[in-house]
Amino acid sequence: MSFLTIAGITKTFADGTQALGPLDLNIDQGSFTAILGPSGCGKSTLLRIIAGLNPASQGGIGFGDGLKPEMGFVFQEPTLMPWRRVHENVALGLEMRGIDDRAQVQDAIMRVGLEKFANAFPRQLSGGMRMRVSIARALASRPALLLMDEPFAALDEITRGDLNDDLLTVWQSAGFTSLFVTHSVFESVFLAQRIVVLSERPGRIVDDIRVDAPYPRGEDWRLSVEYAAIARQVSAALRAGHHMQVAGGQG
Amino acid sequence: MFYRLAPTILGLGLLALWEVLVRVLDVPPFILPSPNAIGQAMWRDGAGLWQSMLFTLRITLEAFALASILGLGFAIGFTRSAVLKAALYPYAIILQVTPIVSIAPLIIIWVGIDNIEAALLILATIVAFFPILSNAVLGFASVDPNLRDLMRLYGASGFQIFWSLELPAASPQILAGMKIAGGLSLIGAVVAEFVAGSGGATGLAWRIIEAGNRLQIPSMFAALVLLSVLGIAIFMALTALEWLVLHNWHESAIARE
Ligand SMILES: Nc1ncnc2c1ncn2[C@@H]1O[C@H](COP(=O)(O)OP(=O)(O)O)[C@@H](O)[C@H]1O
Ligand SMILES: [Mg+2]
Repeated sequence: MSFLTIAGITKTFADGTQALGPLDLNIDQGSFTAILGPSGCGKSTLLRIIAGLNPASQGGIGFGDGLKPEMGFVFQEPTLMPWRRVHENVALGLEMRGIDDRAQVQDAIMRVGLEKFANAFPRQLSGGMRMRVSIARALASRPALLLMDEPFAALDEITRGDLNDDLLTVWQSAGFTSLFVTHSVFESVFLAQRIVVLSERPGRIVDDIRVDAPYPRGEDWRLSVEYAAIARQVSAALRAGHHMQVAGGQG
Repeated sequence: MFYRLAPTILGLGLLALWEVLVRVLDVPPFILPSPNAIGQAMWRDGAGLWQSMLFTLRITLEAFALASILGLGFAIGFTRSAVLKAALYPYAIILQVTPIVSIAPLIIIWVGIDNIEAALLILATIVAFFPILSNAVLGFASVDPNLRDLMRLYGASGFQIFWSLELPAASPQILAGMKIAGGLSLIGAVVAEFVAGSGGATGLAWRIIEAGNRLQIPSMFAALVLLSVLGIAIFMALTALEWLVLHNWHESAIARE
């Protein structure tokens, strides 16, 4: 029994846009899966359906034990409340449930390395640090499933690399299941155990690629032959997905 | 430091110039009284002026509070229901664009004959209502939809979303609306009193009319000065409130530091 089962979902918006699917996917407990696809192929739509923020048009989402697990969501922008201090932003999810657990908030802030900035306001932080706050906020409610929608796409290369490293560390120690949407081939190969490549809109699965390299992954993984080989395979799948759309469009 | 004192220095300089010119050119007090004569009038009528000022201040504050509650209330309603907004917003705009002096006689006839204060309050509220409504609607509409989704994901109740997200997110616009409405409440109260004439209203506007009828120009000026003081005090109070709410986080307040 897998942790998350996505069965035959499609999404057609009210204006007739076919955004997604049909799409089937099983996600294992504790795994790190990257979802890769061209922009506009329905990646955000898929995450929103999994989070229960939008209904699917067809098909459904199931969880292993039948209950909706605790979820965290990280957007492309940090999406913080500028009037709240860092620790107050991080506490948001707990606060909405009436839980006042300073230790848990503190722990989440520590995991992203912001203990010195717990009392700062978002405007006082850099873009990378704001993204860390956003991740800490998702971690604070101890999610079983962490949904990330191109969280580092707007960051510079170096900051992005640091955050990739730290995200893996947090994931390994906390043990949640990760669904990480990106349009970067290299980011997906660096992070994930499994890369699901989607076609152009409406997004369907073109390829499902395993990445067997062990964690912790570091610079040596980025420079390895296997890394390059998988990156080539993923790129080829992306191109194939693109041609699928062109062929479908002509048909 | 100099920048802070500059308005005061300019004001004192102009007052001195005014005093000197009135004396040197021997301008009669019923044309333009000297600052000194205005000060004496203020001292002489002190008790009465004070009562009038309290009257006008009370109408102004009541109208401001009422306009804030109604403006915010309708803005919340409009954010929740597109139908309500579509149905009512045009009427709010009609109320806004109709000059208040043209409605005032009607309201004063309908309400003011029994209760002049209620009539003044209604008129001042109508004037102050719209800026709060329109700014609050704008503020609520600009709440980050991703934050809204996040709150839903965390199972937040409608009230939690309002209290922890919508209200603080819209507070810069709401406060901007309140700052405009503060001044308009005073203008509304004074205009209403002018239309009401001396039929029972005893605020500062009534003092101005009375003094004008008797050609007591220094007393007119004295009431006028107090009106300005009221207006400035209201503006400063609302600026302070805005600073309190926004200074930690909002760009507009940070730029000033
Ligand atoms: N609410 C909506 N109504 C209509 N079309 C939408 C809506 N949301 C997204 N879309 C469209 O659906 C497609 C997939 O969107 P999205 O899931 O955001 O793509 P991605 O995240 O992969 O870039 C896009 O073409 C987008 O324009
Ligand atoms: Mg997207």
